[in-house]
Amino acid sequence: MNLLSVAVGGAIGALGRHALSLFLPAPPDSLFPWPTFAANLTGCFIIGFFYQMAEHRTIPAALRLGLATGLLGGFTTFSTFSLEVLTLLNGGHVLVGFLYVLTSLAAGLAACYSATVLARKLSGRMPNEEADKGNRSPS
Amino acid sequence: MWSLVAIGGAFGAIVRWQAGIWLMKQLPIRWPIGTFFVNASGSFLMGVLANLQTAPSVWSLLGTGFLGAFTTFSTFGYETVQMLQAKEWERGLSYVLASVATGFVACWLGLYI
Repeated sequence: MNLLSVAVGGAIGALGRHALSLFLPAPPDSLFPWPTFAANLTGCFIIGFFYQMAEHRTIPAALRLGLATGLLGGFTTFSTFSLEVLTLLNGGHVLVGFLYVLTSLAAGLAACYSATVLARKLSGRMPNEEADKGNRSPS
Repeated sequence: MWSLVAIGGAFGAIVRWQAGIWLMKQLPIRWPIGTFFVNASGSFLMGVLANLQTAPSVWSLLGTGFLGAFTTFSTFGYETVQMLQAKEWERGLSYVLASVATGFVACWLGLYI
């Protein structure tokens, strides 16, 4: 069951990312890799919201694995991000490349963090109550 | 093309999940070694694949599908935010810098190997 939900989630996530790369309206002649940027940004937001919401609830393993590990893991990508940066740098577009790296990191982390704050507020908890709880490393 | 992306994505997610579990068992350190490893190795293989200039169908299956899903940005982001929220600034910063630098170097090696 867990294997199936990771597989289905991964398939849907990859399809969603592919759809973004085909259909996301981007400014003409823009060198900035908007589709990957959009996928990584929204994926960071949703995973932060979901994991925070799951913190104090019993969520079936199949759902957690299917949505976070499968769907969001498959929707977002690090390998394409790396390749796009190198392609920009190789093409002499150094400024766009650096801008892409910095905005991806800053916006991704900010989105993930605000999502956890939002989820805590919606859960009726104070923002920093659980902050020092320690680390869990979901994969 | 869509079915190839879906098949690649399904396998990429499964391999990432299992590789993460396996790596955490081998190296039980307080550092997200699983995500780090898949992102570094996936970036390397993405470089290799780009260098091969494969047919569009192969790119859909292995590039967009498998390697796209094998690596992850959302888990990377969440792990970093967790470290920063726990005020473990050095671990968080070293994780971000190591992931990005290793990903680029690995992809570059793959492109020019």
